[in-house]
This record gives sequence, C-alpha cells and structure tokens, in this order.
Amino acid sequence: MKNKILKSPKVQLIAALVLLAIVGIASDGDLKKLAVFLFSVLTCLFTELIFVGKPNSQKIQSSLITGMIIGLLAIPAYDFWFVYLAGIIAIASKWIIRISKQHIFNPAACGLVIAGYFFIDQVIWWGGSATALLIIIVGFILLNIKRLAMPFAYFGTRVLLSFMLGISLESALLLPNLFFAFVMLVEPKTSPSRQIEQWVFGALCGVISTLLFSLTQGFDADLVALLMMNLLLFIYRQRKSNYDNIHADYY
Amino acid sequence: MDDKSDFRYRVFGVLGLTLLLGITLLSNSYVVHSHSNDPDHDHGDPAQHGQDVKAQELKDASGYQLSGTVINGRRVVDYDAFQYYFSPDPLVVYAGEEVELKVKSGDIEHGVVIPEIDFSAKMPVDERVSAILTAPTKPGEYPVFCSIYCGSGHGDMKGMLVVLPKPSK
Repeated sequence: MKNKILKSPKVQLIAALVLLAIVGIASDGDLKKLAVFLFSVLTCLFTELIFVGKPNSQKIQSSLITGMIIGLLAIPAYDFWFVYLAGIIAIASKWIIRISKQHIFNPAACGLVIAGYFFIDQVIWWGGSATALLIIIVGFILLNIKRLAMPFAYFGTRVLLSFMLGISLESALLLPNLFFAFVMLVEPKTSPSRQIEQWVFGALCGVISTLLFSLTQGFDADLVALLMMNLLLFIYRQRKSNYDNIHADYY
Repeated sequence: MDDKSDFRYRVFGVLGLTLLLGITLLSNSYVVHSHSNDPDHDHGDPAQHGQDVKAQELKDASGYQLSGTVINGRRVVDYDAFQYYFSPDPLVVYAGEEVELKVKSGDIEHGVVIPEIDFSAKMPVDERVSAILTAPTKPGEYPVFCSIYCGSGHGDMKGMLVVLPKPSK
C-alpha cells in the first residue's frame, strides 16, 4: 500500500513541488514565500472540499498540486488577495467549466490568468529556479508516465521560432518556461495522451507562447497559450468523438 | 508500447533530458555572466544609482535617507534595476507624496512592481522613462519585486519602498 502511494505520479509530483518550494525559500530565507505557498495550498484544498463534499485522496492530491503551483508562481507579498482569488478560481474552474465530467482548462493557469486581470504583475515564478531539480526529478516522473513529448516539442518549437524571430536563445530557455513545460503543460486531464498528439500539442503551445512572448515580453504568455491549447484540444476531442460516433453508425 | 519501443522511448527520453539540462544550464549561466559585470557601471557611485548628492546629505531622524530630489513639489528619483537588485534600495519617500520614478534597467529588461500599492512599471534598457506613483499614506515598509523574468536570481530580486511619516510643517 505504502509502495503504491509512493509510486503514484501525483504523489511524486507533490514531493517534487515541495522540494522546489524548499529550495526557493532557502535561497534567500524569505518567509513570505512560505506564507504565500501555504496560503495557496490551503485555499485550493478548502475550495476543493467545498465542491467535492466527500473528500477523496485523488481530488485532494489534485488540489494540493494546483495550490502548490499557484504558490510557487505568485509574488511573495503579505497581500494574499491575489493568491486567494487565483486559488478559488482555479478550483472552481475545474468544477464549473467541465463537460462529460472532465474539466477543460488547466486549473492553475486558469486561476492565475483570470486573477491576473484584477491584480497586475503578480506572477513572478519564484519557485522554478532549481533547473537541475526540475529537469531530473520532474523529467523522470514524466518519462515514467510517458508525457515527455510535450515539453520536448514545446522547447524545440520555442528555440526554432526564437531563432526565426530574432529573439535571443536564452529567452527561449529561461527557467519559467522550464517550470511551465515540465509541471503545467503536461497536466493529464487537459493534455493529450497519444504520443503524436502530445508532440503537436507541445509544438503548438510553443508557437503560441513564443508569438505572445514576442509581443508582451511577459511569461504570462505561457499561461495564456496553455489555456488556448486546452480549448483547442477540447474542440478537437469533441469533433473526434462526433466523427467516431458518425462512422461507428455505418458499421 | 511493446518492450522494444518502450526501451527506445526511455533511451531517447533520458538523452533528451540530458541535452535539455545542459543547454538550459549553459544558456542561464550565460544570461547571468554576460549582463552582471558591466564595466561602466559603478555600484558605489550614487549619481549612477539615482541618489542625488544633495539628497544623500538629507538624513531623516529615523536613519533613512530620502531618495531623489523634490522638483516643483514632486519627488523625482532615478530608479535603476540590475541583476538582481534595485537602486536606490530602499527607496525612501514621505507618506502621501507624489513620486516620479525615472526608471531604467542597467543590464537586461526588468520591471518594478509594488503589490501593496498596486504600482507596476516596465524598466527598459535603452531609455529612462517616467512612472508616477503616489506613496501610501500609511508609513511603513513595502516590498518591491521585479515583474519581468531576468535570470536565475529573479525570484530573489527584491527591494523596499520605505514610507516615512510626513514631516510636520
């Protein structure tokens, strides 16, 4: 049982995110980072419990991950309103914007982008500064669950497009992109599982985010690109399901 | 996936991760080293850091040094950003005062955000641009952050806005 829990990719990701938080907090000993991280986790957890009613471990793990992501990205200030709003919107979006019992948008990205309209420049990605930790630990989790194609396609496209658009190569491979690609882009419910679809999904997200980045210079471009891709994937899945149903009728 | 393609997937996955790790470490160390040692920039020179020499002599009773100078009733401060700090730091103003920050980045583009007073401005590299902020009426310390990702130390790049009580006339 204990082994089974430890082998769960969600539990492994939670452990990796906690490690990232520890590294981020230890880098300058700023306790505001710890405060914003814990506040975000608690907000998401309680909001999830309100929606789910009866707690179950899968839902709790998901809300912990969403809360941790928001906490690792939000500005570590003692004004918690942004984190509070982002957390509530993130979890609510999972329960409200859903079709066939499946949510459409990445919850953390949804919460951060919508809350970002009310509070300016609140996403500073402080938690994604441990490059090696991200690539090695989260990379191996993704390797095991066969979801590495998305970050690879995303980075490949970013490098290629940055080169074509004259954006410096360093801008294509900065640490927020890394955190985004390894932690947010690959969320199983809102991204494809087939390898070929993963390559297309990652590459298109790279195209949109690079174009948005070249216009805005902001890393919120990644989050907006992800939401656009989530929507495109949903439309694609709906059409594919309709197509499959129509063709099934012939047999 | 059969065993053969699973093995192939894992080999390519590990190779890809190794390559990405190498490239990312290289490109990020390049970002830090290529911009942080500007030979023309003297960190100890107050004129370069927007602290008027006269203002330097102004010492408040609290021990803080007021930033910039007052021109036509408005405090004007040259406010600079570098990897990974702001200058002057702390930025010291009086409560309720209107402050014109003339912002500029000394290496790569930064942004300044003070969440508790809802102030945000981009800090371009090539030119000094003005951004107006109204200091809070409540004296105290307000954290300042960089809003544009600027390298591996971005998360730790912090400054402070110190708001002093308005002096009695």
